[in-house]
Amino acid sequence: MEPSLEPGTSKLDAAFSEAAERFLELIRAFGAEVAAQAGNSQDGSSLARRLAEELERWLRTSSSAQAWNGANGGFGGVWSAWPFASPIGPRAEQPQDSQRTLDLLTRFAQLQAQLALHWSEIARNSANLFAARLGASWTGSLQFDSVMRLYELWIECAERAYADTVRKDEFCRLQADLANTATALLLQQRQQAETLARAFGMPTRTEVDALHRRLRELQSELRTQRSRSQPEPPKTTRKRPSRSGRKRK
Amino acid sequence: MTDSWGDPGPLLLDLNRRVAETLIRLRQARHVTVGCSPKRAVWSQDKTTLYRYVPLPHAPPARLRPVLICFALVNRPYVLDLQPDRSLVRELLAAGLDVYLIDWGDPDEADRCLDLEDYIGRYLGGCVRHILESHAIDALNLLGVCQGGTFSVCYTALHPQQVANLLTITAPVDFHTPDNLLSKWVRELDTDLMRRAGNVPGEALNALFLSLMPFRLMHEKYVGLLERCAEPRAIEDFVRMEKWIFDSPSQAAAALAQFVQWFYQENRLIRGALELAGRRVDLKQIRQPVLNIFASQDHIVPASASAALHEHIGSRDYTTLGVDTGHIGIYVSRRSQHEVAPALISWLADRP
Repeated sequence: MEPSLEPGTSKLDAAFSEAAERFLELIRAFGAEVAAQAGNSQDGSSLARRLAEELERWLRTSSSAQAWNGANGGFGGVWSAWPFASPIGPRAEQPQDSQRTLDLLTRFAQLQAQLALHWSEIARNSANLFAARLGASWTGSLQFDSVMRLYELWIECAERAYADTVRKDEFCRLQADLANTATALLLQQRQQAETLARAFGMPTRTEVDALHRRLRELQSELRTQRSRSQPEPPKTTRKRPSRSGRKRK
Repeated sequence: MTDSWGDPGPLLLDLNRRVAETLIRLRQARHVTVGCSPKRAVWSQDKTTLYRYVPLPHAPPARLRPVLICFALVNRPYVLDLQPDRSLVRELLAAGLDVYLIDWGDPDEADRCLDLEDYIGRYLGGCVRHILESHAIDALNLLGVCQGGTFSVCYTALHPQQVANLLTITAPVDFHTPDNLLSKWVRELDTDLMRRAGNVPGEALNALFLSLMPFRLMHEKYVGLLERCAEPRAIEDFVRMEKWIFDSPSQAAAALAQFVQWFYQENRLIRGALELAGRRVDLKQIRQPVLNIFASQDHIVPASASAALHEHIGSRDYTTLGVDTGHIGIYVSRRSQHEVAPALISWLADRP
C-alpha cells in the first residue's frame, strides 16, 4: 500500500505519510541502483550520488525549508499566507508602491536562489560523507534492520552536512535577509489593503492598533490610580510553612 | 561492500506493510488525551490563568512552600503533566508539594501589543502575589522552564524577597554562546518589522525549531515508527508528544520582538543592560538558593546557555544538574522521570 493523504486525515498522518513516502522513494532509488550494478563490483560513491539527489530534492520541496521560503509557515510563511498574493489593483496602489512590491519580490526570488545553492552544497557534502562511511556500515543485506541502519547513516550524514552549512555566517545572514524581506512584503501588502479599506470607509489595522495602544495606556493609568488610592494593607503576620521533622543539611 | 545485494521486492513489501500498519495505529491513537492531573483555576488576568493542582489522595500533606511553575510562551505547559507515567507535576504532587502552574493562554491580534513587562511584571507577578496572599507567606518556590526560566530569573532579580528558592530547567541566560544556532539565525532579524507585522503564528516558530535539525525532526522521527508499528503503547506516547509539539500558541508581536532583540540579539540579561518597567534586572540580586537543570544534548537551548547562570548571580547556594538528554526529553523521557523530579524534590526538601 502506498501511503496517501485521505480527506480528513490529521497533520500527524500527513507528516508521517510525507516522511514515509520520502523514505520509500529513497529505498526505491537505492534498489534501482543496486539493480543497475548487478553483476558489477558495487560502487558506494554512485549510490551516495543517487541518495544525494534524493536529499536535494527533499530539501527543495519539503517542509524543511519552510522556515525560510514561506511555503507554509515560518517567518516567510506569514507573508505567503496573505490572501492577496498579487497586487490588488491600480486604484488601490500608488506607482511607488507597485515598484516597492516588485523590488521586494525580486529580492525574495534572488534570496531563494541563493538558498538553493546552499541546499546543493548540503546534498553534495552529505553524499561525500555518506560515501566515505558507507563501506563500513553496509552489510549487503536487504533486510529491514540493515536498511534502517543504512538510513540512520544517511540521516546522520545529512544532519552533519546541514549543520556545517547553516552555522556559517553567510547562511545566517541569508536566512535573516529572507525573513526580513518576507516580512517587508507582508507589510507592503497590508499597506495596500489599508488603502483599499480607507477608500471604503472601513477601519484599518493601523487604526485598530492605535486604539489598542490607547486602551493599554488607559488601563495602565487606571492601575496606577487604583494603587495610589488604595489604603496601605494592614500588616499581616506572614507564616512560614511548617518544617516538622525536616532539617536542613 | 559485499556483492550479495538481493532483490529489493520483499523489502519494499515489508516496508509498505509497516507503513500501512503505522498509519492505522496513528489513527487509532489520535484521540489520546494529554494533561492528566486534575487542577483548578485560581486566578486569571486577561488570557493568563493560574492553576493549582489538586493534591494526590495518598500524598503526604504539603509542608514546603508552594511551587509556582512558569513555562515558556512558545509551547503549552501540559508537557510537564503529559501522561501519568510521564509527569513532572505528578511526581511533585506525590512528594506532597503544592503545585501551581501558569497558562499564558492564546494571544490573538488584540494582544499584539503585549510586551515582556506585561508577561513578567503583570502576569507572572500577579500569579506570585496571588499565591503569597492566599498562603499568607512572604516567599514561594519559583520553577521556571525554558523561556519561562528566563522570565523567572528576571522576576527573581527584580523581586528577590518574593522567591525563596529559584529552580530553572533548560533556561537560556547567555544567548551568545558559540553553539547556539537559534541565536545565530535570529541575530540579524529586523525586530521592528516583526513588531509591525503582528503576532507570529505558532506554526512559524515550530517550523523554525524543526529546521534546527530537519532530517531528524521531520523525517527520521517518523520513519523510526516503522520499527515500533506493532507497539500500540509506543505509538500512543508518540502521538501525545506530537500533539504537544504542534499545539503552539501564537506569539504576541511586541513580546516576541523584545525577546529576540533584548535577549537573543543584545544579550542584555547577562550584560546587566536589561530594564523592565524602568528597573534594571540585576542578576547579582539573586542571592537565594538556585537549582539550575539543563540538558546536555539540547539543540534549542544549549547547555552552555543555561550553565552560564552561575557566573552572573549573587547566590552562594548554587546547584547544577546536567541531564544527558535533549530539550524535550528533559521534560518527558524516562531518564528525566528518574533524575529531574527526584533532584527537584530532594533539593527543595533541603531548603524549606
